[in-house]
Amino acid sequence: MRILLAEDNVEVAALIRRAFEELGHTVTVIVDGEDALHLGLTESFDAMVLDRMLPKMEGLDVLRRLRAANVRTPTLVLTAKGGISDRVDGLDAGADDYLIKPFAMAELVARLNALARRPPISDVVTRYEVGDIVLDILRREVTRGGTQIDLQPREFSLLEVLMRNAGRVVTRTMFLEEVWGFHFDPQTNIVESHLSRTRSKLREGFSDDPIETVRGAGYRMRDSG
Amino acid sequence: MDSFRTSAAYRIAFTYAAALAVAILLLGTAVYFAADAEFRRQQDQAISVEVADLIQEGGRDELASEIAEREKGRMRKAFGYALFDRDGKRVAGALESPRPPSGFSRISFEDPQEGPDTARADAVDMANGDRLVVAVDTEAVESIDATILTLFGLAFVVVVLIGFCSALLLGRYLRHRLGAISSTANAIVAGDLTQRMPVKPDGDEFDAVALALNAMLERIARLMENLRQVSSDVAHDLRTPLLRLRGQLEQVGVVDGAAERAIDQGDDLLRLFESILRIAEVEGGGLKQGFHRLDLSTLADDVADGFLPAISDSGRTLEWAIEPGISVLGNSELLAQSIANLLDNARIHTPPGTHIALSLRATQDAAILSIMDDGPGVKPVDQDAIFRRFFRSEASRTTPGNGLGLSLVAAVASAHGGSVTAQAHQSLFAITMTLPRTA
Repeated sequence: MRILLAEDNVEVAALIRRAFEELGHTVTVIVDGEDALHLGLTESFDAMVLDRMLPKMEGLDVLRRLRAANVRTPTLVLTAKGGISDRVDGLDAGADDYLIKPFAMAELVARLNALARRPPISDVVTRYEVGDIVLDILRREVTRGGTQIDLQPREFSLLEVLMRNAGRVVTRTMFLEEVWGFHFDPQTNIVESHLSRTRSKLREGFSDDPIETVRGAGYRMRDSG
Repeated sequence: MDSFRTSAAYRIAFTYAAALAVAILLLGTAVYFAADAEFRRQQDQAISVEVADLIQEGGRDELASEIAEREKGRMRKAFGYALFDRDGKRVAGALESPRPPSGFSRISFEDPQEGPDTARADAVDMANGDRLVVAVDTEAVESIDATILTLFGLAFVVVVLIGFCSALLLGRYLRHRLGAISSTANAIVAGDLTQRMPVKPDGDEFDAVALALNAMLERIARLMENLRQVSSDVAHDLRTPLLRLRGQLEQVGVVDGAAERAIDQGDDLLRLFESILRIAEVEGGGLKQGFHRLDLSTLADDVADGFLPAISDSGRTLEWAIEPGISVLGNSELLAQSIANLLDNARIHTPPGTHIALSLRATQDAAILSIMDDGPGVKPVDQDAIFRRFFRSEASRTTPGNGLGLSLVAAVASAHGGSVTAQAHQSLFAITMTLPRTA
């Protein structure tokens, strides 16, 4: 996919660029806010990564103007500010996700992947089907191979996040934010514990585990199968 | 003398003294005119009574003899009498004065002792054409007027003097009190943040200002301390994990799994940074604007429920007893993180098999959240220290963690206007967070 990256720190920009290019994406790097706005308005991208602190025009101002001009490209805002109100400011400006520096590259890749493939909000998805697993959001029901699987509410939410991102990595912090609403990382492995329960319930009576652990990044639901 | 012109204290004091002097002046004038008018009215009335008395004496001769009688009598001094005939010739009475017009008037007469003098007189025409004149020397009224003037004149001088002196004293006092405040402020500007405004025990307005300023200084000092603390935290306590990271990086390519350990080490460092910054943010204040009413019962239940599988997996048990519907004004993320930190601690610092319990109950005006466990607890000497940054008890040196979890809990409690304490009850160790409750 085509990614617009607005980041004035050359080293950070190079790291991000390399990470995405290794995955086969095209990255256009911009170092100031005005250029980012210009390019965002004139060219089409699949996703944008905007740093908050950009020369000439702040990242959030760029985003506000793009959103005002009806540019709906999924956007992730990077920031060195981890303040409680800063994240709200970012989301208010129209950001789809918010990542605090410093971050693990795997985290950025996973989040941008999740964003870029996110179905439009107008499409209300009530059912996911991946392989032999079906998750029905309205009926709060999960079946594998037609057999109903009894999941706790959080286990259900975890599976929902995984299935929505089937084939892509979901990180610990993505789970914490989406399932628990935590924007912090507890020392207790609450994600792992819930996931292992979900996995063993899904595996019961089957030989394979539909969820795989991606070392150093997170978890992934196998897309095919 | 320049200070008198520029000093607000002196200006106020002198203005006040001047206002007092003007008030005395106005009062004196009013009293003078009111008294004068009243005395003259009484004088006229006395004359009228005397005239009415005399008029009853039928003919000229009876009147003349009555006048002579009265002039000799004890009232002699009070009134002067004269009876003029139709041609203006004095036919009775000792009042040496030309014939005045009828009615009240001011006349001049010849005082046998004092020479020419003025008097207040009433002239009444009799049936036979004679004119009866009764007069009173105005000297008495004038002397009373003079007395009033003298008294108020003296009072004015005294007030001006007292006013001037007390203005000097008041001005000096005000300058002294304000001077103490401004010299303290200057000392603080010069860098001594430990200075505080002097506060007298009587608690007057200056003390109220001084107390408010001191409270402000305390806050500033705390913020400065916070900043210093963060800088020193960064300087000292990040050195160790950075050194460990460096060591692990040196082993990359030499020892298996070193790269992974280095990444984990890097993640720990990031978490440490986040914790330090989060605490600094909470302690820095300014979060209150974002506070909203939230259901602490639901929040605590959610967090406990979210921790249950992980705590069970670790071989410990978790139970919770939560009174429903307890609301507080706060930030849900910070409160959730605090509860999570307390549960983290209860898991990390206890052996498997430990029973952990969370309770939330309400009193009249507080929400009380306790996390208890029957683990080894904390030594009494350490029970206050555990809330300090980077504190690690001897027993927890080898357990994971950065010594910031409880510091954040303490900062969050305090930012919410509450407090947090550690207690040991027999075999139980409890950390209790008390938050002000909303209705």
